[in-house]
Amino acid sequence: MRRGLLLQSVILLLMMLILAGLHCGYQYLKDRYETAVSAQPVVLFSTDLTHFEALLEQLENKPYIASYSLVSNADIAESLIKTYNLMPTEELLYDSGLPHMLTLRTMPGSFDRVAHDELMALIKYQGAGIEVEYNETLYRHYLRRLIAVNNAYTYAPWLWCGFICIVALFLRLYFLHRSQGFWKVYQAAGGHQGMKTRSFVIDTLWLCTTPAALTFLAYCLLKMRYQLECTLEPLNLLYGVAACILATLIVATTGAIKKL
Amino acid sequence: MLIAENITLESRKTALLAARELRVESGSAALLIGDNNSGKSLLLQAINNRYPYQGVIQIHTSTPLLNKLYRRRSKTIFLEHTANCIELDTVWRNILLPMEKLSSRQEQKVKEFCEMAKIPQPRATRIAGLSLSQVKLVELIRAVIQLPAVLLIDDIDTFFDEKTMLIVHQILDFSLRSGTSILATAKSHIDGFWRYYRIQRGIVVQL
Repeated sequence: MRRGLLLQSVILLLMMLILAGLHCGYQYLKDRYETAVSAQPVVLFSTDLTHFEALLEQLENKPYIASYSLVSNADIAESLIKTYNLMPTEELLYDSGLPHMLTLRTMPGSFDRVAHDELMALIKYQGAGIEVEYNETLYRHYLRRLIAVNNAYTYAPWLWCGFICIVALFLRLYFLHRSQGFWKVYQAAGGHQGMKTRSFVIDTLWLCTTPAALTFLAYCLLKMRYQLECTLEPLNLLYGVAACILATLIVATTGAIKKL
Repeated sequence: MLIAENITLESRKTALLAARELRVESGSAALLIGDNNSGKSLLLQAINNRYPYQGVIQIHTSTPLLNKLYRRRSKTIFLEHTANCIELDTVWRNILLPMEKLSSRQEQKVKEFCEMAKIPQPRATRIAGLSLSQVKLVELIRAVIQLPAVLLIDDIDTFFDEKTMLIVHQILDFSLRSGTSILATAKSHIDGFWRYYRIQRGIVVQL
């Protein structure tokens, strides 16, 4: 294989691997922050059980609620007595008016800002009788990060594909310019007239498909061997392939092949 | 066979060269003699479709059998007065450059021609280590081995002295036997050609 073509393939392969890394990295961070956001439960206390019953009725079909557990004040008292061996104060504890406790666990990936605000509004709607125990600071911290990752992912792959296009464009132009002497000699030597174009087309096919195919193959092998959690769709790499094809089209339509 | 009729070459709307008839039979060699700036190279470029011209230029083989093979050997190879070899590559790779594969007969012939050109180890010798006349011989071997329909050689006397010209004729004989039409240009008369043309006051005349 020609060294120039090999070098171009290696550079584009590295860029495709980075593109795949962007997708996998995004999925990893997204999963991590979504899990972190949903890791802490929303704990509610109320002395009136009807508040919880009304709330649970409203939350019945909400997709962001993964599970809930309702513990009555009697169960809490029993649990406290058992845990701390409070036998002499048993009656005192039953009479103390402990609240009921409702623990809501949210669904990772569904508990976004809108869902959070909706849940808080529903809790508030039940009146002042419900006390909420939830670390808002931690929630906002992870939510900010999640939004930042989502925003970055909206632009980063496109920017990277644009960069792939620019690099592929300059690589093609540089190596076409370098091979100018060879083709001049080749044609003067009586070589086939269409060989230059044929070679350009074959090189294009090779450069557009091989790096992406190797990247996907590497992903499949890693997934089989190390049980990777991320999912890489061939479509994710097709944007990179499209960038390479675009670069080639620019080179071809600007007449660079004929000139060089 | 090469036939050029009523050819006119112009440069900036000024007539440069005119040829009523220039004919090179298959398996024969013709020499076009002319001074500097007489338009010899331009005529070769016109025959090779690299310079605009008026008139008719026909390239075809003489026998029906060769006409059948015409598509295989329709090449016109033009050896310019500049060296066209890849300097850092070996002689062998330069000769093989335009060909996809080489038959054993061709391989044998290449070795034989390289011996004649005093390049005993073509696979190990790089073009950069050769003299200009040897480089032109390599180009000649490369052209001849492809058995083109027409072989155009510009300024043949610039690179080869009388002694080397004998080797050139031996190499050219190989393709002449296969029906190649050879048209060379020179500033003065060189022996060994079938037909001679001269450019006189912008007109090609047969001697």
